[in-house]
Amino acid sequence: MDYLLHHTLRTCAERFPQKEALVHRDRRLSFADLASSVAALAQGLRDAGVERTDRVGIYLEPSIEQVVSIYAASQAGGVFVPMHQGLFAQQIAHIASDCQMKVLITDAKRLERLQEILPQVSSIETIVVVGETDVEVNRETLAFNALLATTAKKPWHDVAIEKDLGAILYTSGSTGKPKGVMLSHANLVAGASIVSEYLSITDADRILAVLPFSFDAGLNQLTTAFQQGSTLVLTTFLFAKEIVDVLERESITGLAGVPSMWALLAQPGSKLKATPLPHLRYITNTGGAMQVNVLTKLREALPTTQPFLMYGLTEAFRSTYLPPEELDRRPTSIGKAIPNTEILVVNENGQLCGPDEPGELVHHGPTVSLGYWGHPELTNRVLRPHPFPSPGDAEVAKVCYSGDLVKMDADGFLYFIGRRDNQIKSSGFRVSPTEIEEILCKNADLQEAAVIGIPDAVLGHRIKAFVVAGEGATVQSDELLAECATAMPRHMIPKEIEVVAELPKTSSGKVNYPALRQGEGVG
Amino acid sequence: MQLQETTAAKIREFVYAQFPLARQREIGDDVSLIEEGIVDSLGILEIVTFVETEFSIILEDDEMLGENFNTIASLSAFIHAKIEGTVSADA
Repeated sequence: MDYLLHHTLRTCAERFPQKEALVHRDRRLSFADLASSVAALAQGLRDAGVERTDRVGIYLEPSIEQVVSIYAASQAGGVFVPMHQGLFAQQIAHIASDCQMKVLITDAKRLERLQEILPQVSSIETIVVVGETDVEVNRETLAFNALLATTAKKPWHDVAIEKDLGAILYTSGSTGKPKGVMLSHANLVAGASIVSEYLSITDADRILAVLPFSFDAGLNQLTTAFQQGSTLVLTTFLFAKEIVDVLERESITGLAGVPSMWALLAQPGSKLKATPLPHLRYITNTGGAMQVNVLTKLREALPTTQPFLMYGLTEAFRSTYLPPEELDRRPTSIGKAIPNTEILVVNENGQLCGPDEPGELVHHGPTVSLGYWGHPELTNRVLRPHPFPSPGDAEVAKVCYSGDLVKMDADGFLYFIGRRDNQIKSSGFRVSPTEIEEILCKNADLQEAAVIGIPDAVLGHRIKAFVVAGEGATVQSDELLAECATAMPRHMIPKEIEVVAELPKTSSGKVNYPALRQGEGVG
Repeated sequence: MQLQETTAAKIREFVYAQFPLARQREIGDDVSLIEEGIVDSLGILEIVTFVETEFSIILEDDEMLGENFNTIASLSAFIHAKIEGTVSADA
């Protein structure tokens, strides 16, 4: 029975030992090779002291080593914490301290960047390094390749159960620093089964992974592929045509993306239209609504490919999808509940909404996460008892209150309206305004700052900051922008900083964000 | 020659404004924007949109090459050649 994430890979290695499992550039691993690398690294991690539910951070570029690390952390009984390769040292320090990370797997280049923050992160005992390094750190350092040479000592005996924590994905909310969303093995395996079901993923599929594994939909590419025995191809790109080339060369059958990526592929003059891709069975969009004109262009360029528009939030993994046959009728809908999931729309009085009445999307099903690491109060605000429990429920199930406003039409199809809070979504990443405000206010010349998201067709939100200079100080927006560039990854950097005399305030003295948005013509 | 300098100046100004890291590090015309991590895939899209609007040209997919977008200098030279080519083709 495959109840832990790494079981699915083990099963594939038994069913299809010689089948191609993972491709990155010119490296190709069979399921047998991959499972044996995972087993060796898992043994190496156990020997290094990883015990049940210890957190293992993975800060690597998309690579074979990154995939092996995820499954090995699981097999060692640990909890994997995938971190986006583009994060800066300070963000890694926050995540590592927050989840009390015990082992960090990174590469030589990134270790050099992390040197300055390591003293802040006392929980890290061991660092596993991919590649040669002469960087000296005051922790046990092990070479990734040396661990891969570890021989598994005895038949593996799992002590973990499916309710155990399997992964923590860091994501931003509307305030403060990123929070760790806790996923159990049961969540991870259910997410893979559900998505495989509605995308009809089988061992005949070849999935191109472009989205990062630190992102729930990105991770799902990996978990579905290795549950069904599909081949996963890893790639990074700068130009849209690099994606098109790999789609063609590798006979890719499935591709998941975010709106900004589709906008790149739908550019005028894009090679996509001129390249026949008969193998490409489906594409999926998540991380924000795809522009209707982009969708139209993609459908013209890919006449035999089925587009699936999906909606999900990390706290509940995946929630809805629009079946492709509904696209012409309701191109702006986020669809209906994914299999084995109930989606409710609830108004402010806690009652079910009628047709077209706006309310909060509430998710009930096996992918509802375990909440936020170290934030039980916040968890209780987001994960609450089912508002309409079924008769006979001994213990009322926890459901996820998404914070997303939606409405449901008379046929049961859902439409996204907006957020209930100030959360920003920039090129598929959730961004908290306060996180940017805090970084801006490290500048001693600033008295205060407020950040809003302005709807943008390509990015989802374009980030704008309003800043007030301290008494007697003057600030230049271009200099502040340059400072931001050294302190935060690109998706967090404001597109514009406006210096203002004062910020609008509410009667209780808080920043009036709606007034700032209205000033920009956004309701 | 003067046109080429104007093209370079416009591109430099855009890159400095849109990619604050370039400004912070005082990136010269010959430094790789890609290797320095200043421009990513979305950055390329921003540059393409800017160039197409500013210079009224359409960039083709086969022109989307790392060598054309690598530095401010290579981008300027590429755009300049493209404008010249468009002008002479029209003439």
